[in-house]
Amino acid sequence: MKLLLIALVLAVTGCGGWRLNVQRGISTLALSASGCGTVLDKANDAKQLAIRELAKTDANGAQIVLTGWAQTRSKIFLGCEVANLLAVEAKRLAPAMTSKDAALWIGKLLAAAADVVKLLNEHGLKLPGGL
Amino acid sequence: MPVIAPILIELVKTGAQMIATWVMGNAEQRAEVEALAQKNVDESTAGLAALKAKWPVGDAETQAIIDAEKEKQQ
Repeated sequence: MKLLLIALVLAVTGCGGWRLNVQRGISTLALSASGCGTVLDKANDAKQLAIRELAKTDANGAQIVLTGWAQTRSKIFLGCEVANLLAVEAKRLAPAMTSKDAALWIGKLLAAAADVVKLLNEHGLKLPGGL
Repeated sequence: MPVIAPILIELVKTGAQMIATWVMGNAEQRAEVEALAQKNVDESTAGLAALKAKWPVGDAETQAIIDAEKEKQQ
C-alpha cells in the first residue's frame, strides 16, 4: 500500500513536471520564432532604406542587392517558420504525450530554439537579449 | 499506544493537506503555463503571417524606386 501511494505521488508529480517542461519548451520556441521574425523585420526595414538610397546613385547595383536580400530574407524566414510550426505541432500533441515522448519533445524544442539563434547569428542578426 | 494514536492521525491529516495543497498548486501552475504557451504560439503564428504579407509590399515599393532611377540613369 505504501509503495502504491509513493508510486502514485511520483507518477502524478513526475508526469506533471514533464508536461510543464514541454509547455515551457513550446513557449521558448514560439518566442524564438516570433523574435526571429521581429529581428528580421527590423533588418529588412534597414535594408530597404539602404537599397533605396543606393538606387539614387547606382540603380543596377541596388537591383542586385534587392534580389540578393530577398533570397537571404526568405531563407532566414523559412527558419523562423519551421520553428513556429514545430511549436504549433508540439502544442497540438502535448495533451497526449507520455513522459518518454515529452522528454524527446523537450530536447527537440530546445534544439530548434538554439537553431533559430544560430541561423540569425550566421546572418549577423541577434535576438533581443543578446542571445 | 492510545496517546500516540491521535498524534499519528493528526500527522496523517496534516500530511494529506500538504500534499493536496501542493497538487492543487501544481495544477494551477500547469494551467497558467499551458495558457501562456498557447498565447505565445498564437502570437508567433499571427506575427509571422503579418510579416509574410508586409514584405512584398515593401519590396514592390523599393522595386518601383529602382525602376524609376534606372530610367533616369540611362
